[in-house]
Amino acid sequence: MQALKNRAQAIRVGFFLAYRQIKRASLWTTLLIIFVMALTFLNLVVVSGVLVGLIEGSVSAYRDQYSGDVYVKNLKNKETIEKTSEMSAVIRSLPEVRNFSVRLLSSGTVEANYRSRKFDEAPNRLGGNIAGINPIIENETTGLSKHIIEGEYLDPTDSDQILIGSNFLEQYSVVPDQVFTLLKNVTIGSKVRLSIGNITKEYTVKGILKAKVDEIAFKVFMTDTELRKLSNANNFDGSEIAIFLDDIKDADYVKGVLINNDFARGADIKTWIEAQPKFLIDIKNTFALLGNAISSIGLVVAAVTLFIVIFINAITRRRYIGILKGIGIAESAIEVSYVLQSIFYAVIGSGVGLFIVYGLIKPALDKHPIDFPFSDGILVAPLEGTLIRAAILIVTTIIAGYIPAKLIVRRNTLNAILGR
Amino acid sequence: MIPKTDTKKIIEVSGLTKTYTDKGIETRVLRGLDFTCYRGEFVAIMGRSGAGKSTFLYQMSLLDKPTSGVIKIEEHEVSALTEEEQTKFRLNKLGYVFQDYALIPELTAIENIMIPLLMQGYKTPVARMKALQALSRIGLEHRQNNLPSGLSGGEQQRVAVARAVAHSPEIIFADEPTANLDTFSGKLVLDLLLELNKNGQTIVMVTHEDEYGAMADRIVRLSDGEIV
Repeated sequence: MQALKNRAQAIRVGFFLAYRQIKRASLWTTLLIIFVMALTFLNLVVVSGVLVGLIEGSVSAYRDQYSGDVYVKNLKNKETIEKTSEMSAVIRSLPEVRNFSVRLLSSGTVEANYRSRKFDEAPNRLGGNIAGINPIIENETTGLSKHIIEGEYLDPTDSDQILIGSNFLEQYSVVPDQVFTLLKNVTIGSKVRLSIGNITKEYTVKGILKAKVDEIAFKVFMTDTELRKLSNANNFDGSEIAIFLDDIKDADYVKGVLINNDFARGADIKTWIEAQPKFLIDIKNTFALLGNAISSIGLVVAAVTLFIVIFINAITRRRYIGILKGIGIAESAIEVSYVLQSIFYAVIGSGVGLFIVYGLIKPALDKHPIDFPFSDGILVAPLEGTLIRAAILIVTTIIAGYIPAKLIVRRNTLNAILGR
Repeated sequence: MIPKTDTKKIIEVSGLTKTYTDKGIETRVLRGLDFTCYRGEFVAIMGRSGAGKSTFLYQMSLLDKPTSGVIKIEEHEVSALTEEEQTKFRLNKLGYVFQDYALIPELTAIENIMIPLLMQGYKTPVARMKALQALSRIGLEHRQNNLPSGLSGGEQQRVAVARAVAHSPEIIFADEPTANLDTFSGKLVLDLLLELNKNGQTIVMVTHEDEYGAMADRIVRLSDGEIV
């Protein structure tokens, strides 16, 4: 009980001293320490947040522009989703579903320059995926038309026209063409030949699509009716269904409904999380790890900085610490005063950091994502994780403040007073 | 009226030695001192520079550990206490006036006086009231919110005296309290100490000024670490 009372007394006196030391400290020194703390906080949150956001931006784009919140795909040993029409009817009946689009996919080759090439010239041919879509539904669902950078979007009646992804085309390539063969001189109105199996047909390029999602940028789109003809499909089944919900949280529920309706026998049904490409998840985890490693270094730098600041502060005040001990102030009270000062700097620094993250950086990046070549980088900074980082910073600062205070306070009282 | 002195011993020192060792060289500063101070007494410790006056004061006031010997205050063997216990003992029983005032620069005059009171457990308003009373006794209540840097040397030393007495210690130890002051301020501080002593406060003061030493009840002279 007495020990508890002594501790409370020490905290009270420590607070009394700390408050006055902060209040009467040099404003510039205080601002500098807070600035360092805020920078450290930003380093902790923003570095890993941007690294993860880089991939998260890619994942979000894949979900928003292609897979939807629930993604249904044909099984590996099947070419199409079984009972696509029945499944579509069930999906349509669900109130949680905002939109969905059924696509038919096929592999094929696209060939350019077949009209103008010389006899000894190699064909300018490239393999890739061809998607058959209902242009209106697809556009309502994923907004495909907004990726058109040249030409026009498809009409449902376009039987001999296609949209082609920019990754097929040499003029949009960022990769040197000696690495990959790309289609040369293909622009709006160019004729290309599409082959699926042994069926080949000539089409006119109506539009060029550019997106950071490879599934769009490296694909040829035509109407589903046309693709069925070209691929000789004799039913109305699709290869994939992108389902968009009003609330992303219902993804598990909608997936469950489809599974309960026994559609999993003939289709691979996944939520958007499960549908993420594995390499993206791996990169995301790697970047998170990297971000944490970089942040840890920042944390150590901040701890050392604060240690030095508090140590210098304590050592220059060694005499006064001695006097305080001399007049009977407990060592613990003096230590508490330094720890409280550290907490003050860490809390204010974190507060400033929180404001910068949630008040400035995050809204700015949400509005204007960083334009990385393969994704629109956003800042991933969930509040819970950010608060944990703030707590880590505060705990580190407490330790960084306590150790130098302890080192100075435990010195001989008289030596401290006499400055020897 | 409290009798100025009584026969009750408040400080008993026996066989006190202090030896400093620096780079293997031993310097014996105190050589087996025996000393007694009675409650309510004003003792001046005098001697030439290097005689060991301050060192003697530091040992008695528990700011330093003697090499050997026993120090008793109010019959408690305080030299055997742990550092933590000594700090607590200093807080409750002893008051200090240092040569160079030793006020905490970030604390105002009143806050400097409040600090030991808060540590003793007084609530802030009570500590403030007691501190203000102490400031009034030295005639500096109008300077209560001044930082030490805004006070003259004499005022600072008077605040230091107020801090030393505010928590009603048994003994005040003063280490050359007038050394850094002009004659007028020095006289004010000494008058303050004399007045406290008149009211029964035990005071042990180190000084090298004969004029001030003569005002004490008793002078203890030190020479080469021995009482002469």
